[in-house]
Amino acid sequence: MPTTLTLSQKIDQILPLVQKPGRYTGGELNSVVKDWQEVHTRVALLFPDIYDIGLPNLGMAILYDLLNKRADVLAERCYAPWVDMEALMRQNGIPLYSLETRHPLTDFDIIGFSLPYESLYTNVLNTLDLAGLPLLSADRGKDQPLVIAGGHAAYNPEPMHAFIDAFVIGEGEEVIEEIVNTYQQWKEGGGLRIDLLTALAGIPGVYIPSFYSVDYQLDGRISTLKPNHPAGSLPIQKRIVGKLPPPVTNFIVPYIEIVHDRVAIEIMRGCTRGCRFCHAGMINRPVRERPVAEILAAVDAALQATGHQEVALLSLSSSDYTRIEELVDGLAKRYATEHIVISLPSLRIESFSVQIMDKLKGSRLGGFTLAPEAATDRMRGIINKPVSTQQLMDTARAIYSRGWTTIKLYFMIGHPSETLEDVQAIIDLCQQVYRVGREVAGGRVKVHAGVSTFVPKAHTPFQWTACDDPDSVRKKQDMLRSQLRNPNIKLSWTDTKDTQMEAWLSRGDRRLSEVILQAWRSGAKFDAWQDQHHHDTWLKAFEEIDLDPAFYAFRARTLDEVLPWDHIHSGVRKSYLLAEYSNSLLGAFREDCRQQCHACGIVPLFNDQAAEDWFCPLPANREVQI
Amino acid sequence: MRFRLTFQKTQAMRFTGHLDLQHTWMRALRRAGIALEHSQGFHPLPKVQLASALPLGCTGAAEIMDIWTEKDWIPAEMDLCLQPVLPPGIRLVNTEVVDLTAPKVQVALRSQEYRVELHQNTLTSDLQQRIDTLMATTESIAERRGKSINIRPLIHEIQLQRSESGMVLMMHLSAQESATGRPDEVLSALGVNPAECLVERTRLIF
Repeated sequence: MPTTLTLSQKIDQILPLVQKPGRYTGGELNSVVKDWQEVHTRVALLFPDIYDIGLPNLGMAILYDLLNKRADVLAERCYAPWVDMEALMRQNGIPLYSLETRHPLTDFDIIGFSLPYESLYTNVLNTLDLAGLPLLSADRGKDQPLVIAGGHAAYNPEPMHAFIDAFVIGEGEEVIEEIVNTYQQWKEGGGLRIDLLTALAGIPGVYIPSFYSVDYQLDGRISTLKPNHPAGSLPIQKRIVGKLPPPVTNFIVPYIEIVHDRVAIEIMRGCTRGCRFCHAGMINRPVRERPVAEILAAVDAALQATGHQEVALLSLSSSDYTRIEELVDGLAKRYATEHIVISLPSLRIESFSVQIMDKLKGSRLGGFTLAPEAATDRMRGIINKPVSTQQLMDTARAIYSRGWTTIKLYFMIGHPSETLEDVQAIIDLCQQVYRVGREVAGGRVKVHAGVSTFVPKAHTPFQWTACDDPDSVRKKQDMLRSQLRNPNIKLSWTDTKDTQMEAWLSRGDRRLSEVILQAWRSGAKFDAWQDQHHHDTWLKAFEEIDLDPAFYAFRARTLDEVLPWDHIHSGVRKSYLLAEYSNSLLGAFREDCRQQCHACGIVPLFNDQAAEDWFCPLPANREVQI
Repeated sequence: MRFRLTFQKTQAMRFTGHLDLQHTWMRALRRAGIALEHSQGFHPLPKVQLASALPLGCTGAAEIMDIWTEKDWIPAEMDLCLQPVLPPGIRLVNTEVVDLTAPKVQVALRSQEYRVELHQNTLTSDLQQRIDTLMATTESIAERRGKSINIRPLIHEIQLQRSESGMVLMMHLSAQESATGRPDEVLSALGVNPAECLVERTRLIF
């Protein structure tokens, strides 16, 4: 073959040889292709999993839209190639490239990784390697792209600290612009890479890991984390947008089927429920709602722009959206006759949710999803999810009697204080729901029980908690499997190996960078995929680096311990998390903070940005003062 | 009302499979505000019929699809609504009304023509001879989804031509529901690597 082939021609030649080549072509409707010569700054947004999973990611869509609205910036997308494509790319010397214009990633000014969950970490390394970039931040020079990362997993950036130049903590809408501006100023000034990092460190919410040093005690716990550079300030406070900007509507329409072929409109950010295991519920405070009219207009515009048939209204707790009825009535009225499916996830377990969904159900009736999480009052008190069995049964009855035949129930096992009685109660509850279904709707009724395993997360009241022992988890899963044998009750669970990996990485410290690097070198990638087993690779990597995985997963942290993410401030005070941890030990409920402020700290922290549509009542003590 | 749409499936879409093409069309029709009739039943689906699946990687110069609309449309107006909302990779060539009682397009289809641009490195010196040999036999076995099939009866004609861009193969292949010829199989039978060719279906014959 002649050597004069362009990169694009080389790509075209291997595309017929891979599964789903539509993942790698680009050129989709609503994608934005700009002239490289007409912009100052070129940003590659990289989602480190395959196209099918990355394309529907809302965070990527928001940043893509924002950056491309600027005349002086272009943003292009990149996803991790699946193993077949990767092999051919390596074989043919094709570097990782952007979909819009097929430029190698090394041609970009900034590479922005989306890090929603920890199991993508090895893919970050793999994509950097495919791009032909040094993996370590310290090894990259001033002519190489700046590598940044953000997303929920970045709230504990430490395990990835060695690979990422700058982390964004919190919501990206405003800070991404500031990063680009800072980059532009630096580039005009022609400084060194360290000058860029120094300038970036001045942006609130930006964390430059290389500006800090960590010391450890002999027992492996952290003794101190200190700045080693004048620009390294403490703590790093997360960014939020005081008022949510209008939602993205011109979603990219893929040519191939992906996990969510739909329009996604975020109706509300944050949650006031305070479930103690919930990472999203803690880090996304405060609650901000979008106006009904804005959502209705956005749904309309997005359907026009995409032709999608499904709309998902996203939030952490849809029932808590204040004007949910008005919104649903508006949607039902507008789309009743158009074969448009509207989904509303995260509904509370109450009959009101059934009324709401009833208005939206239209011609297609999927499953109805509820997340009781726990089945005994004791566990409910521990996790702060006050849903009584009676409430669940009444709701299930209402769902089945209104025509749904499948109820999905999400549970969580593996809290260290959970007993076999608590697990037995999950089994009983599933059977009870099934019986109610049979009674109301007959033989077609199904129950789908999704039982995940608890992983304690940073920045939650359970950040000090140990993970349940895998043998104990397996015993509980065996119990579920052996007792939920009814063909109409489908059970799914999480492999304890996947849970362990998530546990190491979620609460890991800086030393895990070496383990991640070693695991990747030994072949670990696509760790989020259940068919790609690398558990032994990971264990071996721990051994080679001489770290104990149990130290990260199965150890309860002491309350005075310096946690690896203590310098990252989610806006929720550590004292609040601690109070909630104590409440969990007592099994005490804390009511929804729309009822009463529990002074988590978010309001005073962002007082200057507070807008009318925040749903935080005044703190109890402050009310007295007024 | 039933319409027959003739369209091009070009470069950007040559890696979009049959089912995904169908979804792409349904989305385009929704963007255009053309409401389709839906099938009855528990899971109503819009009524759309593509004449024939185009192998992945091939472009199509005149692909054909029938749609059933809820309302009456004048073909020219339908064109006006569709043109601005078509995705890159699809070009609408013609729209016409079809009688509701006409047979399904998939059933009416008889055969298909392909144009194959050969890569400049493809050895063409004895290609004509290889074509003649293939056409002279009655059996040429290819593997399709793990089964051996005789593709020779599916080949009506093959011509080697010279064009501005180099050597070109024109193929006329069968396209009946259970007897459809595939250009990649024919190319392989001729000792040509299909991955190195640009293959376009130029015509569907009814």
